[in-house]
Amino acid sequence: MLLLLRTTLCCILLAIICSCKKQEGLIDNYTDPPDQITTLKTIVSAAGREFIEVQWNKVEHSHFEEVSYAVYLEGEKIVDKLSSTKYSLINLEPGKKYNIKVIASTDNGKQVEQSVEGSTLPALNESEKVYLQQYSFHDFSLLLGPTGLIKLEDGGHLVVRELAHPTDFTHVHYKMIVFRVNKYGQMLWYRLLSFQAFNLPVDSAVFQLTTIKGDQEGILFAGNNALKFAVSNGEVLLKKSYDDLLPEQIILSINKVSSQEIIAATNDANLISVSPEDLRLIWHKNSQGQSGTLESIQVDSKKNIYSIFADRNEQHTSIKVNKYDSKGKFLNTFQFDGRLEGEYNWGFLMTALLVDPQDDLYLFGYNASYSYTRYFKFKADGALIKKNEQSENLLIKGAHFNAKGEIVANGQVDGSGRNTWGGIYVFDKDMNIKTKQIWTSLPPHGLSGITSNADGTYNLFASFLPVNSQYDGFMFIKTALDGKI
Amino acid sequence: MEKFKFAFLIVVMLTLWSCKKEENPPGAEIKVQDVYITSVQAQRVDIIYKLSQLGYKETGIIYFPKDRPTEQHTAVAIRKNDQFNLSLHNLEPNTEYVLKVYHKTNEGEKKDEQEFVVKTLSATSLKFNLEISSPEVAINDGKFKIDIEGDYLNELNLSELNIKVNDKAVSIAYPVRIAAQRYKLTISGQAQSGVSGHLITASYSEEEIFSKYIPVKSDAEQYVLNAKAVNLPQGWYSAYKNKLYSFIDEKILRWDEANYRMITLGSFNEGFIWGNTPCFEFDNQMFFVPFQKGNYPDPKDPSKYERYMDVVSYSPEGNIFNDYPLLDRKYDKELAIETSQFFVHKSEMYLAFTLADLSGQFANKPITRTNFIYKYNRSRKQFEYVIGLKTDILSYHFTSINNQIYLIGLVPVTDQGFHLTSTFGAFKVSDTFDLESIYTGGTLTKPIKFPLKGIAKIDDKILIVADIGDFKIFDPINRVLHQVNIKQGLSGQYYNGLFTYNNMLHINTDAGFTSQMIYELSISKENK
Repeated sequence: MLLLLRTTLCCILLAIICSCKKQEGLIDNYTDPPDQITTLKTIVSAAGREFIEVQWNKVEHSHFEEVSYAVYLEGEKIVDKLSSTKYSLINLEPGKKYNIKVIASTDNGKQVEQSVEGSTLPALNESEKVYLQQYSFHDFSLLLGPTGLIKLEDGGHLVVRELAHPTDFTHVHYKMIVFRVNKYGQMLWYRLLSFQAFNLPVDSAVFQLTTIKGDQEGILFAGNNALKFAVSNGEVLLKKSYDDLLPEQIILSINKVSSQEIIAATNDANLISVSPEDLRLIWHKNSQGQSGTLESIQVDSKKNIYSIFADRNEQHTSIKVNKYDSKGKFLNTFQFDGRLEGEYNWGFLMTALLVDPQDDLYLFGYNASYSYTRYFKFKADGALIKKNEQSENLLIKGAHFNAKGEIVANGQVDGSGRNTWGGIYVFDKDMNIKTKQIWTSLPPHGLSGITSNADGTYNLFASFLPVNSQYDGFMFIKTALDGKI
Repeated sequence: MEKFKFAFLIVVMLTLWSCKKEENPPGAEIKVQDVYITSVQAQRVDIIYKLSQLGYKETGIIYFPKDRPTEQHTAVAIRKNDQFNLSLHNLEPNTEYVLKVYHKTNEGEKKDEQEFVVKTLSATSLKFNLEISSPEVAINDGKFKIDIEGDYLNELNLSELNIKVNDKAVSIAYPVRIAAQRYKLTISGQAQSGVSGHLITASYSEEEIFSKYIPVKSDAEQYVLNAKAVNLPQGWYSAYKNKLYSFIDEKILRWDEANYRMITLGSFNEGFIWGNTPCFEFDNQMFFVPFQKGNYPDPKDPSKYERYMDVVSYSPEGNIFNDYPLLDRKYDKELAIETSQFFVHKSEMYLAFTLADLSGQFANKPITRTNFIYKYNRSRKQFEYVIGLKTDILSYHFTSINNQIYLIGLVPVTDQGFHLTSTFGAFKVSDTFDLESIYTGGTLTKPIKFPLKGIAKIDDKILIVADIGDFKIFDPINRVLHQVNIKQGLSGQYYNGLFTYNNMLHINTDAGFTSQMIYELSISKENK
């Protein structure tokens, strides 16, 4: 038995030795490849005024170790252990060059790095900045109605609107509010005024503003009253009623002819001339046999007075401009044919009149049926120079000359439903439309007023629906060049 | 032993009897109240709500994808205290779901009419797993800071991350690593005044990845109102010597609590009293709010008609009405009674009311108001004119606390001399009715305006009912106005008065409607 056991053990031992013998004589020629990672290539993939985005290729490790990434900004580590190959550096300064380094590394210290330089976009210059200001006086009040607007020499504005408020202690719902804003649209002061004190029904409110004494004093015409106030703080300096001459009339338009005279026109075709200094009446002309409204009063170099006349006796208002001498004596009515082929004639609403230094006049408005633009250029004797021959969509509500002497007509373009947007057409002196700008990139709004800046930017005052967005209620927006938002 | 059996029977009967009182009013509907969607995630939505009363066997939410209404699911809610909590799980990301509360009673299942639509967050949100651990937003120096935690926030392309608090953009800092793949990202911004909480939303590459509402942090104590529905038949209630009376349908009724029924005590002619406002108990009488009466002093001259104020009271002991015409002042035209109120000061009863000439309302003219104060002469049994209150105040109430009269109401908010609106104001009033302003709520731009529908004294303070579900407490000693947090919901649209019964303040709501409810109110102070 013992012998058998010994024999078996010997056999096993022999077998093991034999098997080992087979490995003998072979050489291990394997060489571990070098531990390396692939190259890193980093680029600046995007940049804004306050951020730079960097992107890089995926780095591989020859020995299949995981590669992670770290990003440094100006030598300071911002993030590590990144597995993605893109990162945004935020809260940077505009217009600044930054050194950005990306390091790709493995856990056992193999690493590769690359630095790149990236710049944020430059800060907007003054003309490119879009200023945005919302005007809210109280949580419970709302700005509504027509807008009186005038630009001041310092780039700021005087604005007049209606302020609606609850009627807890009175049945009176509305106040007039005059306020001044600086060139950034920031409000400097406001003054509340009573409609009753101006003999002005709220639903007929129109506000006309002008300034005198180098913008030291402002004059507001509302109803059949004028009010003089200090532009610096809104203090009321003087109030004058013309109720005895203009009973139940509303001043619709004014023109500051000189530092000694302001001419005003009413909704009953009356004209008055007042002294800006003490608001005293210089002369008054009644309707001189006419029945209708006078709007957008202008004065040429020879002191002749022009005004859009809407004849109350006409069923469909035609396009008329009245001409008066410097004392308001009626001289003539110029009538223009606004009809275009394919349109019904339900009358016209002409809204803006301008006169240039050559005493050529520019008349704007729209037809009453389809809200299509109408414009005319004519001479001081009423001779037509040009009119539009095809329909345009802008409902022109006002017009002014910009710093280049071009004519900027502003108005509304209606979309479907309740959508409506403000816009401008810029005309050259020959009444060719140079540019059109409709602000459909903004939420629907009503353009309450617009003024131009010398650098080609515009100041918009617009009313937005209260939708709790960036645009809410009555707002000031300074545009970029050429009215771009 | 028999004695014990009998006693046990009595106890059981009493228990059953007392239980019976807690039963719901006959025919009252179970209403769903205070539904809040507390959290929305990609695959989960958390909801809390309440039911107006007991009687349900089971309740929960029926939900389905909005575009696939046939795919209905049901989740049963769990009740904690008086509130139901539930979470809907395994939802599809970026999908609109319609939710509806249901409850089951012995009569069957009833689905609430109101539907809620909630959209789950995008699948991207799953990757980042954002959460805000702090239950409140801390505000320092007018600025807030909120830490948002999430996975792999370092991977976010921060220029595409847009975080807003109450719809306003905030500053975002770089993510800071706090654990393996866990990061913290701090957002900060200017605190908004007057908000009760912050809705924090985040979108990444224009996909919504986070939405959560967090209340504003405050260490102050708050008043908490608990309302318990009580079982009384429909009616307008007034309390007198701890008995409830109702003057309705030309009948004088008294609540017989023991027999759970109304007893008819007598009748009155329609228009004789104004019974739908709780009466004021004084001098063994129940005083009704004053109203205008008139007569022709000369029966032959119908062009002359005199108006005067009249107060009527009811004496329960004698079951008689008493008439107190205020004939010292007569009016040639109809005036609106805007405010009227009785109050007791130093054991004397006063009547205050305001008459308003609204005739100019269509002519855009100011409203002329005259405030009157009369004192009840107990011995002469008549009201005697004291003074005309010379101040502009609306919706006002007098109350006497520790022998000091206070007047609260809505006072003008004046801007540049114009009364533009009103705000809550309080005055200390001398015994000769001279006023000293002690509190004006809010600011010119942001006044605190609410109707003062009813008041009650709570210790040394004044409980104000602004609306059903909106109660405030004014502390005249410390000159502080507190908002009262309603812990248990009150339902109803119309306020029909406060009355004290069984030493508990009660509120009557929706009187005259099938939805009428009467609640017993209790107020406590708790930490927020």
